[in-house]
Amino acid sequence: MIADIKKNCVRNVPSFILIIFILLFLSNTTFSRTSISTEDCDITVTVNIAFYGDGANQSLIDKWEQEAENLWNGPHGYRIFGYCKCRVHFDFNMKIVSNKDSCPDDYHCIEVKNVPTDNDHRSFVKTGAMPGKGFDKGPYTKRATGEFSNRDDGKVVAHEIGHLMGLDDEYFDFSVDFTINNDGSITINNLIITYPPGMPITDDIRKKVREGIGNLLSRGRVSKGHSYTWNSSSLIPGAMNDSIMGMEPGFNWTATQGHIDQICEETDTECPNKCCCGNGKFDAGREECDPKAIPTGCKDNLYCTSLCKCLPYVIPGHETTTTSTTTTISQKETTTIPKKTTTTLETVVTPRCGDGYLSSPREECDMADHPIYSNWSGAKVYLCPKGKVCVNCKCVQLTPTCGDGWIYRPPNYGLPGVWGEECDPKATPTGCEEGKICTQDCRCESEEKCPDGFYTSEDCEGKCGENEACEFDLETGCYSCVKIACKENSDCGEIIKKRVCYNNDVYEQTIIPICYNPGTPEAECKFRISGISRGGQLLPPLEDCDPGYCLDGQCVGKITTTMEETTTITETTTTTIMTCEDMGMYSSESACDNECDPPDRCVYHEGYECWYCQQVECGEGLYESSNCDGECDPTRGEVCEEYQDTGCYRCVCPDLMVTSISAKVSLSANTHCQDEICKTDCSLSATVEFQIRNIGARAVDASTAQVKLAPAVGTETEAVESLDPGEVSTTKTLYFSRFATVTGSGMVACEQLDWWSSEYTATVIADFENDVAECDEDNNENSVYPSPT
Amino acid sequence: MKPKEKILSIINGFDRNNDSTFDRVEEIVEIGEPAVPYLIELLYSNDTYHKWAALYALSRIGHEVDRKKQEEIISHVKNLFDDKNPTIRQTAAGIAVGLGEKEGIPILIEYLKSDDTRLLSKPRRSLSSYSISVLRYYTRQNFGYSIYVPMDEREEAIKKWENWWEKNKDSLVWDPNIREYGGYVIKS
Repeated sequence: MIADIKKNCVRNVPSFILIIFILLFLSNTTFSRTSISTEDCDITVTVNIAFYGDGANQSLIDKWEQEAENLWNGPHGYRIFGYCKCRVHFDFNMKIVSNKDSCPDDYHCIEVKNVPTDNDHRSFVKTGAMPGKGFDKGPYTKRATGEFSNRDDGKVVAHEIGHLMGLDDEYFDFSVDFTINNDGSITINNLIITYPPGMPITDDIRKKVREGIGNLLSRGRVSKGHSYTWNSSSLIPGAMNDSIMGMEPGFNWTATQGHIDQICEETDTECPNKCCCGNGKFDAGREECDPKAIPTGCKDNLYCTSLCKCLPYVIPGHETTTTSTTTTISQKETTTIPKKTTTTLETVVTPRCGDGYLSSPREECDMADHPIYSNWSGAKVYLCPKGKVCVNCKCVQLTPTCGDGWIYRPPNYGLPGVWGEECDPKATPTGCEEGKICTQDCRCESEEKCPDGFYTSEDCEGKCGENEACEFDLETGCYSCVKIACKENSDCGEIIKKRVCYNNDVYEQTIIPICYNPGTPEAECKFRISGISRGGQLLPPLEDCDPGYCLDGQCVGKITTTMEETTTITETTTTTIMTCEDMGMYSSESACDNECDPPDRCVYHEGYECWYCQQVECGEGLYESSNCDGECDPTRGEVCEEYQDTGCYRCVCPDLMVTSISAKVSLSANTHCQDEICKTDCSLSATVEFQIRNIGARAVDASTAQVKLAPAVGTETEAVESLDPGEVSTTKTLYFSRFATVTGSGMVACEQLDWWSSEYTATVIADFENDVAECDEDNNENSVYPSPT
Repeated sequence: MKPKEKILSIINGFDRNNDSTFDRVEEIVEIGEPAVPYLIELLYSNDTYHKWAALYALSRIGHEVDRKKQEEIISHVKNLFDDKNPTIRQTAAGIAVGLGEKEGIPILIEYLKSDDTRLLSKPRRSLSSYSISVLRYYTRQNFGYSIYVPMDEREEAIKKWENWWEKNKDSLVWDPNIREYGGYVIKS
C-alpha cells in the first residue's frame, strides 16, 4: 500500500508540476479586458467592463454602452487610422454582476455608486498597471477597478473608458496664489500642480495659468491690489478643446484623431497597404490603380479592378476584339480638279478616342477629353445612354462595381485577401440565398430591418431635417440622416474681430467663417484667421505693450489702462463691413498672386467678393517633388517638368505624329511605232506633302522622316526641324519620278512595270531613324492612297 | 474605529499633491448617519479640503436622514453660502436646494456663468455643469442651457433662468414627496 502510494506520488509528480505550472500560467494569463484586433481593413478595439453595486442597473449600462460607443465611433460609426484609412471600431461590452468577486476574468471590474441626486461624485478607474503602452501586451492587461456614479452621463463613462484604452487625462488641476498689482500686472506667488501628480511646471503651463488669471481679471472676478488663491484646472498644452480626455467646458467632447492614433500605435496596430484600395485616391507604390479614383491610374484600354489591379477591359459575355487600324477622316474629303484628282487632307482629325468626334462604329461615345486632339472647333462630347459610362470610347457598365448588375467574383474568390462581391442588388437573381438580401455594398445579409435611425429607402422616408441629407451607411447597409454642417457662410457664424496677444503686443485678429462644400454631407465650417501676419511677415501691432506685456488682448503694466476701459476693449465685437484685406483675403487677383505660393492658387470667393489663396495638393499623376519622385521613364523620353505654373510636377515626353499628308501621282504613256513595232514611254511623276506635329508635352529635337511611295516608286527621307509641344512642322514636299520605255502601245504596255499601278500608297514615318525617345513609338506612321491621273 | 476617529484619519490623510488620497472620502459616506454631527463640525473648519469632504459626504447622507436632521443640515450649510471658495459655496447651495431650501437656487443660477473647475472633481467638472444638473433635477427646467457650447451662447438661457427665479421665488414650494419644487410659472 505504502509502496503503491509512493509509486503513485512519484508517477504523479509530473502532473503536480503541470498543475502548478498551469496555475502560475493562469495567474499571468493575458485576459483581453481591453484588446485590439485587425481583420482586413477593419480594426476593432474591444473593452469589457463588468459593473456591480447599488447604482448598477441594466437600463443604465445599456445607455452608457450606447453613448460611449457613439462617442468613440463618431458620427460615421467608425474612426479612421493609418495612411490607407483603415476603419477603427469601438466595441464596449458591459454587463452587470452581483458583486466584485463575480467579475469575469476577462472584464474590468467597476463599482457603481447609487448617488441620490446629481451630487458631486468622484468617478475614476484605477488601471493598476502602467496605462498607455500597448494594453494588449502582458503586463499592461491587469484588470482595472474603479468607481462610477449612477448619475454619470455617457461622456464621463466614455472618458473613463479612454483610460481603459491607455489614454491619460488631458487636463491638469492647479492651485495658484497670485496678486493683481495696482498697475494691473499679475504676480504669481506660488503655483502647484495638484493633478496629475509629478507633472512639471513648464513655461507653457505657467502661460496657461497666467491666461486664466487674465480671464478672471477681464471678467471682474478679481481686482487690483488684492491677492488670491485660485484652484482650477486647464487643458494640458497641445490638447484639443473638444477632447473627451480634456473635458474642456464649452465644447462638445469627442474622441480626437490623436486618441485613435495613440491607441493603434501604442499597440503596434497597422493599417495594411492593401487598404488603400478603393479609397478614391491612387496611391502609387501601394496599388496599381484605384477604381474610385479619377483617373484610376491604369493606362488606356485597362480597367481598374476592385483589387486595385489594372486588367484588360472585358465585359462578361461581350468580348470584343480590338484592332489597331488607323484611318483618317477628313472634314473636307475630296476636291476634284479637272484632269486631276487630288487627295487633300485639311484640318486632319485623327480618329482617336477623346478627339471629340464620334468615329462610329468604332466609338460609341467620346468625352472630347484628349488634350491635343480635342482642340478643334467641331469637337463635341458624345455621352453614353443612362446607366452606362464612357470608357475608352465604349459605353460600358463598369464592372466590377457594386450595383452594376454583375456579380464580380475574381479567381480564388472566398480565400482570405481575395475580394469580390457576394451578390449584386441589381443582378437577377442577386446571388444571395433565400432569406437574405443583397445590400448596397454587395453583401448578403439577413433580411432584417435597419437599426433605429437608419432607413432602407434612399430618401430616409423623408425623415431628414432641413439641415440633413440622406446618405448610405456602409456599416449597416442602410440610409441615415447625416447632418449638414452648413449651407452658407453665415451658418458658420459671424465674422469676429477680437484683440489677442502675440509677441507681447496687442493685435486685432479677424476670424472669418467659411462654409466648405456647402449643403453637402461633407460640408464643414472652417475659419480663416488673419491679423497677425500676412505673407509670412508680421503685421504692425494694434497696440505696442512695451514696456509692459500683453494679457488677454490687453496691455498690462501700462499706467494709463484702467480696469473699466480694458473690459470694454476686450469685448468681442461683430462687424459686417470689412475690406478683403481686413478679412485676410485680397481685393484683386494680382495682389493674391503675389502672396500665394504654388502649388496653392488664388480663388475668387463669391460670398465675400474677394480673392484668397487656396491650398492645392498635387495629385492625379502630378508630383510635389521636382524630380517627380523618380517616376519618369527615360526610355519613353520622359523628364519631370512643372505643370502649368501650378507648383506641381509631371512626367512629360515628346510624341511625333504625321498629322497632315497628301499625295498626287500622275502617269503618262507616250507610244511611238516604227515598222509595226510600237514602243511606249511610261513616265510617273508624284508629289508627297506632309506635316509632322509634336503631340507630346515635351519639346523634341530635329528628326528624320521617311516617305515611301508604293508600289516600287521609291523611298526618300526628309529632315524635320525641332518642335515644341503641340507645334507643327513646316510642310515638307517630296517629288518622285520614274521613266521607262516598254514594247507595246498605250497604257496597257506600261502595266508590266512594277511601279505602274492603278493605286498608290504614300506612307510617311516620323522619326524614322528613332533619333528621339517618345511617349508612344507606335503612332509615327500615316498613309494616304492617291489614285493616279 | 469610531465615526469621528475614522473621519479624522481620512481627512488627515488628504494630500493636495496626491489626488488619489481624496478618493477615501467615499469611506466617510459609508459611515452614514452617525457621521453627521462630526461632518457638521467640519463645516466650520478653516481647511477648505475638510469643508469639501464634509459637504461631499453630507450631500449623500443628507438624503437618508429624517426631516428634522435634514433641517439641521440645511441650517448649517447655509452658513457657507458666503464662503470664499466657489466650490464650497456652490455645493452648500446644492445640498440646501436638494433638501428643500430654495434660497440656494440663485447661487446655483449665478454659477451657470462660470466654467471654472470644481475643486477636486474627478473627472474635471465645471461649476456650470454642477449647477445645471442640480437645477434641472429639482425644477425640471432647463431653458435651453448646454455646457457644450461657448459661454456667450448660453447667455440667453441664463437670462431665462434669472427671470424665472425673479418671477417665481416667492411662489416656489418644496414638495418633499416627490423632492421637487412646484408652484412656479412654467413659461418665463
